[in-house]
Amino acid sequence: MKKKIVVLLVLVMVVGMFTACGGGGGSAKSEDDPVVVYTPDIFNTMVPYDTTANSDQMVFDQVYETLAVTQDDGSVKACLATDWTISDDGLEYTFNLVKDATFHNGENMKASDVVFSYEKFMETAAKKNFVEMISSVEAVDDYTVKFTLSKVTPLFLVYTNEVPIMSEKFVTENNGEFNDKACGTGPYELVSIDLATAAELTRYEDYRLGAAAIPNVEIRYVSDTSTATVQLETGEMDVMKVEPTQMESLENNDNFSIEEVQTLKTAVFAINCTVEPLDNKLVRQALNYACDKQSIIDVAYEGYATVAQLQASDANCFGVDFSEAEEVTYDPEKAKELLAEAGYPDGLNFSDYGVVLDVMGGTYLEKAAQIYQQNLAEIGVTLELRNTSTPDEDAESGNFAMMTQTLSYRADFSYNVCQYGTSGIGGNNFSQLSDPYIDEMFAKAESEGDQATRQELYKELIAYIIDQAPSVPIFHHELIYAWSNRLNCVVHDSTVHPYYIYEWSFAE
Amino acid sequence: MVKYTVKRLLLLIPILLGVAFIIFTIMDFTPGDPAIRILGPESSVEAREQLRVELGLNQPFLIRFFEYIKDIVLNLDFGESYRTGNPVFEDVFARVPVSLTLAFSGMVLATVMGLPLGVYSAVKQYSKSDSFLRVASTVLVAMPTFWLAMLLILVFALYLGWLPSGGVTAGWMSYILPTITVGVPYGSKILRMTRSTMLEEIRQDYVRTARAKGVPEKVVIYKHSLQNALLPVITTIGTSFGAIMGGSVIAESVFNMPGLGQLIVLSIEAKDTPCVLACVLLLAFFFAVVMLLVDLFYAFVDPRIKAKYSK
Repeated sequence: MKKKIVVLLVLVMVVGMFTACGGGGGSAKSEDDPVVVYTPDIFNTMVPYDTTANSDQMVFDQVYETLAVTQDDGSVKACLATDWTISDDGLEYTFNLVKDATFHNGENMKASDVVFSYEKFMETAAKKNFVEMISSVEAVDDYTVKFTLSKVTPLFLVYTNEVPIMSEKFVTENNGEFNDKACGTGPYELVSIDLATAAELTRYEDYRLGAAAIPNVEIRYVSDTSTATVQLETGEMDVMKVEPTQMESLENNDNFSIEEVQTLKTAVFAINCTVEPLDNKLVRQALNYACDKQSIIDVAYEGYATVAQLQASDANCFGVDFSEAEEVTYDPEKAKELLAEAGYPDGLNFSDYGVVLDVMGGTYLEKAAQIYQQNLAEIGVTLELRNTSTPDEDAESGNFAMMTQTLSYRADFSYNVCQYGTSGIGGNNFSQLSDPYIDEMFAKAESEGDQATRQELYKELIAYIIDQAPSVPIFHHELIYAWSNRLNCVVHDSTVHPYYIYEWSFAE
Repeated sequence: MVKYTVKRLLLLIPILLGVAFIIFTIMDFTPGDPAIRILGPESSVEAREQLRVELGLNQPFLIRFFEYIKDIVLNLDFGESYRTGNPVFEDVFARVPVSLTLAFSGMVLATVMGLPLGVYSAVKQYSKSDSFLRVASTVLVAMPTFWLAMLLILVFALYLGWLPSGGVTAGWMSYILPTITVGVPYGSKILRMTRSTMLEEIRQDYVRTARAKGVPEKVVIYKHSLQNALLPVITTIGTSFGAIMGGSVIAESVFNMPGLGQLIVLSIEAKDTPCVLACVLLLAFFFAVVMLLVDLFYAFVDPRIKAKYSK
């Protein structure tokens, strides 16, 4: 009996201890407690010109500022620049800078810092694609910077968003080795970062536009999305990007606000147009008409996506206008007709040509491929699926026939030349399609200064590309964000720059 | 004994060289381009080529391997991580405490759970409690780690709110659920191993003699039988420690613990060969040292083995 009482007492003590010390949910947070923001990617480094990781970028977006930022509608808004002028030939951009921006080390931001930052980006490989059109950058005076481009491209302005302006003094003092430090002009200072776990930020009180409403922020890496969702539910996490499969547990919970945002990312069945019988345009068109995209969205992506016609969307990408293009909707009968016209009236077995659909196993794309396989079976087409673990390498080298892929795009259709133009072969033009007309139209639109004329050129080009059917675009991803009701958050339609925490505040 | 230990330590050199060569070969010949993994699919062909040159990936395989070994031998330099740009051992050693703590606490739990329950189960053979322990240990060994981890999180973090669901910021409290996750399956293994070896021992003649002489049952079981039954159990504990060190990938991932297992997975995804090599070499070293300690511990448990080592 005595033994039992002792055991019972020990149990009560253990339970009491856990209850007292528990880090679990329920405990109300004060405004001084950090707002915890989830990132699914581990941090690599705080050296902006050495990383492409989204988690690092999430920190940079709070700590650094850029000359201009791209807004959700695709337009470019001044940030560290007050305004800019473009020369008549489109090759020279002159930026006037704000005069009251200070770095977190107290130094005033000057044109020399802008030149230094851009030169660092031009020297290193990681983000070279954002600055490779720049042939020189020079400080005209303390608050004026002039860029000379090697070719005319509207992407230069869009890409200013990707080059954080660093303090020359800070970088030089640290000999370029500042993996766990940062010094920008942004609304938050980096207090500390453990690259394996979390970054802690605190608001910069001297920020030129006024101190941020949220005083402390923690950007936390969680390797497993299910665990992150539990942390959101227990209150350990405040803001997170939620996977569609995790939505079931959050949908009926009043403690969170949920917002769906269409992003600049498209899921496609990539087609190698150099492989028989995919080199036949009619076969590719049939493959497009046979695809029941809405079913794929509903089953494979829980409905959180919109049907795609192209690897870009008219919702958030300048110049995308489908009004002249033929609408490609799910139509098995039309697919059969096109196949018959292509010389396959009795259907088609892709195995006879060694064509298979390479699939990234274990992802929603695998489910999408399985549904598509059924769609094709309905029109008499047999297509086998095969697992691949190196989709990017295979797609770029053209070492495939068909493949599930996701492609990002930018808020200007001129970016898509890398996906449809000859210059993109070996890169993101997975179709391997080399069409002089497409190249010519992209070049013409890129060098066109008048936005309305550019839009007309793109309208024509888009109709042509959709007719060529170089891929089967499936859907544009929607990202789902959930945040604690104690916050008012703003999220953006970019997978790279989803949050500017300066825009957030505590709910009343 | 000292000679034996030195000999075993010297044997580590070819073992580690072999491990390095195998991992280097596997990482090199598996598909995937580190330049694309690091720079992302949007990067230009020129940028990728520049990075390949910076990382020395344009050199032939054997030259790169030779340079890698030369740097280790001459400068103790294990290279820099492709992903972070840090010396790899900075990244790796930052994670060792988490993995060691998890492995150690997991092993303590496994041993404390498995050993006495195994003895109890053997002594009470065919009783209801023996049947229960046999069924429970089979279930726990077979239970997927991921499932067990999620179950523990749901119960103790979400519903009861007693423990944190992940991370290491809550100190020792952070280790309770991961320790149960990694410790319980190995504890069940130890239980089953202890039970079967104990069953053999308690049927031996010397046990019968001890009982006949009137030696108390506790002394017969815990002093005479258990000591002789321990050898295979110690081996299981040793190998389990090594397995937990390198194999707690799932627990580290689900509980968001910055340990070696998580780093290996991240590094393989990024094709970060220097980091993978450093992690695996360190784990191989740990494993070899633990196995050496296990062999040395035999000598203390069994005087016959001590005599053999001395020869």
